[in-house]
Amino acid sequence: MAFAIFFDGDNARLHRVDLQAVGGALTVRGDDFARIYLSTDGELAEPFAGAPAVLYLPDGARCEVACPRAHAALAEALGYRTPRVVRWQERWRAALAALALLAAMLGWGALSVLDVLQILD
Amino acid sequence: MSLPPKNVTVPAKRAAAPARGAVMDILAPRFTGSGQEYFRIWIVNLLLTLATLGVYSAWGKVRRLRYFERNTMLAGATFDFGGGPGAILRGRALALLLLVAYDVAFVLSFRLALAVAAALMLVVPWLMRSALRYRARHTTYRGLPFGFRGSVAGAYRAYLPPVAAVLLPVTLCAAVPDNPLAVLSLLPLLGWPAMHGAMLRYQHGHLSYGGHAARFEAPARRFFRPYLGALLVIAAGVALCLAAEAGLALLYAEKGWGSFEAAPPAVRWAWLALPVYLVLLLGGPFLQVRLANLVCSSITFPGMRLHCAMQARAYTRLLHATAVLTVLTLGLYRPFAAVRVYRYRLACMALHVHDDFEAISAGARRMRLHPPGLELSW
Repeated sequence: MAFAIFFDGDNARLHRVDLQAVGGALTVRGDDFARIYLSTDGELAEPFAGAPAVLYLPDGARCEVACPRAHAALAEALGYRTPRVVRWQERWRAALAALALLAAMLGWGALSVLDVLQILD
Repeated sequence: MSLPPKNVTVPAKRAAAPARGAVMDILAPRFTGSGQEYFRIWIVNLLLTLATLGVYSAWGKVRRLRYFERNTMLAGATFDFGGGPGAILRGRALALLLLVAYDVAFVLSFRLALAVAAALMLVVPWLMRSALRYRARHTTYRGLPFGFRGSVAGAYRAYLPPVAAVLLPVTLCAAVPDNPLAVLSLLPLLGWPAMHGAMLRYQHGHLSYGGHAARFEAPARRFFRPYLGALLVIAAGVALCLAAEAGLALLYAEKGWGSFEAAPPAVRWAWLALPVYLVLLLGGPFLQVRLANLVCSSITFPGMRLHCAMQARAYTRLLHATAVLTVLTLGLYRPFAAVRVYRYRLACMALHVHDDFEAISAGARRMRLHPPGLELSW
């Protein structure tokens, strides 16, 4: 399914592996080893556009997947649900709405301070 | 779909080879993030921080650290940050409490102010060590966390002198401003470069990774030179200002415009702002570059040496450009600036490896880290 690099969490050696998520199982197959995990035990890290996808495994190991298409397929296979704040950050419209809200809050705050200063005068 | 490159080696165009040992490989870190993506994270963080009266800032900091670490690649693998916001929240609450106590103590009594200042001096080194441990143990590379092995006694040796050198004159000048002793208490600040060097030695010399301990090779005396250089840059800037002021005064007299002191307030204020600008945007970057080069190039791990070759002129130009754009966009360019500066700093760094990097990595093993204890950061 995807080429990935794998770290076993015990030492920093880099393993080039084939990562597969099929039928509720995650299979990591390297040159001289194979590991199988339950899909539900794998945890996908918050996605960033240019960074490799990171899959945390229950025994402290991790996989890094560089290909964006493989990342999307992995997210689907693992049933990854993007957190609300991350969804907000991913869209330009939502980010611009945040900017508008921020400007409104700052404007409201400034007006409130001016009101308070007027009362104190 | 393709395999990650087997050997992410970058030719040593930017960074000269270190003096000691034969360099087998030079690895350059790479940043994969973008200003646009970070802007969206930053604006949402800012909004949520404001809406929660600052509480969300701890979560925001975690997201920022995670974004920069996850987008930093070295030898085909990324760094990662796995810390939670709890420690940051606790650290910020404690720092706020201490600062409020320090402020209030002055209003109540001098003795109380001294007691709070003493308490601050005792607490700050411990807080710093706690923050360094938090940052190191939650930063991972190739699945292994970094470690920080600095002792409590070492933290006091590194941080107590600078904290005392700052707090003592501030406390005395506020409490007994007419006493000449208050001014004399500023004298220890002359040793600031050595104190700064000791802090940096403590911060970087006690790092570890996979059982490999870092070494920090710059002695404290080497930190005087960057400060002297920055002072010279600032002095030259101020001298230039004074010379220009004298020239303007002459021009005013010659043209019959009256005295320069009587110039419109806007002109006078602009004139006063110029030295501040020179200090912040000439002396500041110069010092940052010299210190970054010195500090980074002094860190070694077994078989590896970090190397940093930032250029003062290029960095100053970058900071000028980003400062102007940040002002023109009312602060909205700030995240783009952060990315540009981070990318520049990374581009000037390299890891000089004296052996096969993969063989060294295979020797890095997960060590039993210190127990978490009370984690604090800010």
